[in-house]
Amino acid sequence: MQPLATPRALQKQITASPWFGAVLAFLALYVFLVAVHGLGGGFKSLGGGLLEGFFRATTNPFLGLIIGLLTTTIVQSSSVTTSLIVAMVAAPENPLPIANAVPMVMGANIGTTVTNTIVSLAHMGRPDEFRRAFAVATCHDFFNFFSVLILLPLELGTGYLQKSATWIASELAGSVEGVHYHSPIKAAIKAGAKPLHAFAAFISDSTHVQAILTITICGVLIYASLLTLVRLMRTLLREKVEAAVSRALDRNPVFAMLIGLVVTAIIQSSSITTSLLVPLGGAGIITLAQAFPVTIGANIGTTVTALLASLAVTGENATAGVAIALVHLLFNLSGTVLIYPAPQIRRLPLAAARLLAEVAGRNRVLALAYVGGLFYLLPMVLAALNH
Amino acid sequence: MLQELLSIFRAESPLQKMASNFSEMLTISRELVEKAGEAFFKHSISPEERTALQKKDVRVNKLERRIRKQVIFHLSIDGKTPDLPYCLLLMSLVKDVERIGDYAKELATLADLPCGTFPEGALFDELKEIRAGVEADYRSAVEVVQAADRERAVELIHCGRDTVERCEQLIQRIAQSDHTAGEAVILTLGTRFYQRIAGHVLNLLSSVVVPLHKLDYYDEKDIAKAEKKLGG
Repeated sequence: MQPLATPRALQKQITASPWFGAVLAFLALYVFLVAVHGLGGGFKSLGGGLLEGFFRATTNPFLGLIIGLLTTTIVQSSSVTTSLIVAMVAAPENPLPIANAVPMVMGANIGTTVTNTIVSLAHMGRPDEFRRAFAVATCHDFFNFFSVLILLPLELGTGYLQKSATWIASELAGSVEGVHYHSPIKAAIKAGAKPLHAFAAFISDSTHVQAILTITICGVLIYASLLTLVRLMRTLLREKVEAAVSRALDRNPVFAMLIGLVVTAIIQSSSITTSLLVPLGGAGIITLAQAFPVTIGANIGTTVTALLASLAVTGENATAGVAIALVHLLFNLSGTVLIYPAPQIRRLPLAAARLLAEVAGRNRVLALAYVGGLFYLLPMVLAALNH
Repeated sequence: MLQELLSIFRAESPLQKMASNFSEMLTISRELVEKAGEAFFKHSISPEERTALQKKDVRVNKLERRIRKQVIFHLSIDGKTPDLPYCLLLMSLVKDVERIGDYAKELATLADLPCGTFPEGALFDELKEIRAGVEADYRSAVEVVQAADRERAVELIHCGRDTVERCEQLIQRIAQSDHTAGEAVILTLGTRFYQRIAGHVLNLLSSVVVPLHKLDYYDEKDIAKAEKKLGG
């Protein structure tokens, strides 16, 4: 076996031996679950004092939205953000209230759309191509904008997402009530988290320092393991992803949505799925209308990661962790049901994407301003002002 | 829908798909050339035959667009550098095969041309031989391209160049002949179409022998190099 000195060498190894890649993927998934579990323990040890300020800030739903958005645009992954949120909500002590977490999840949904918009900027040198690519990229943005515009006020007024998700999570937990089942997966995850806590204890005697160290290490592990998992799955399923996306674009919208969902759920990244569509749109191979249902499917498929993360949480707030993961799923399903079926409503995000692309196509500096301003500068300014 | 989803995981690779579409394109265009030749030399074409030829031509054109789309799709999504030369090659070759189909279709339309008397004689017999040569060369070229048989490709390139030259000389002789205007038009157009078909077959063969950036060109040095490598 050749030394795995470089990512390219690793990629070659995986292509030559898919089983090796599959084993690595399981390992990455295991590390991810251990890190999510460990994060909960870290928050438990941190104590209420330090987190109080954060929790107080997130009682403002607008600020919660911005925090979710900014975190996602910085780490370039809604999966990382939602996994962190699941861990915080499910923390055995000092959990983040679900009500505070809901807008953060919505913000994460918006933040993840920046990646494919950035990808579309590569086409800036050729105006027509750029217009098409930018429209395909930003239809994702506008879908999420419209979803949040409608559903956040609805949630604040009725709490329907939180209530439905909590009910479903309770039902799922209640279905094994009275049956004492010691999950081998959870046992393995707990065992994996022990070295983390042991390491933190070895570094410092201070509980606070241990907590901060644990949180930092787990945060990094969540990011690294998800990144690794995404790359592995992409390498392993490269041709199948291409075949799937190709098939999706020739069929009816429901099938296209299903493909977007399945591909994203498997490779664990909506950004990859939606970014694949951007150069195709730029080349004129696909229309905006063809790309849209795949994008929506990807939006739903990315909720799988938070659901996976909720598998790793234990303790009295574990159900809350499952609930917030379900909120992510229900939010995206609600947005789909609200926006896609009626042609008059479905046209809105597409028209907005086309208009923005037309404007950005004439003055490409505006495209840069849109990405930098809306996804980074504005949220930072608003967060600072609110603080 | 579930079946369809599962079938994606059993789907052939993108390059295999492109290759099988190209293979189909070659087969159909070869049939088109042969059927068109039959119609031309019979000097008649039934409505059913005309429809069948048109359908084949439409199919060839559709396959060209499909392969181009697959190439752009594959390069946009996967972007693997090793696949790039093959993909660029396909983009060029499908054009040649589509043109062969077009010329074959045009050849068949000559069967309906109201020329009065249909040509006969030595020049027409010469054209018959050219037809036999072009069809045989194209049949062989299809196998050679699919098998990447360099030795056979070099042989066929020599034959093909002779055919192109022969067509050129035939046109000169037609211009100096006593044929009526109608007969001369039929002979000249028929010769020209076979010449163009032979030219595009040469382009296909060049893909087996010369490097990608020299496609469609017949650098004597490259042909000689290929012959030398083959020990010829």
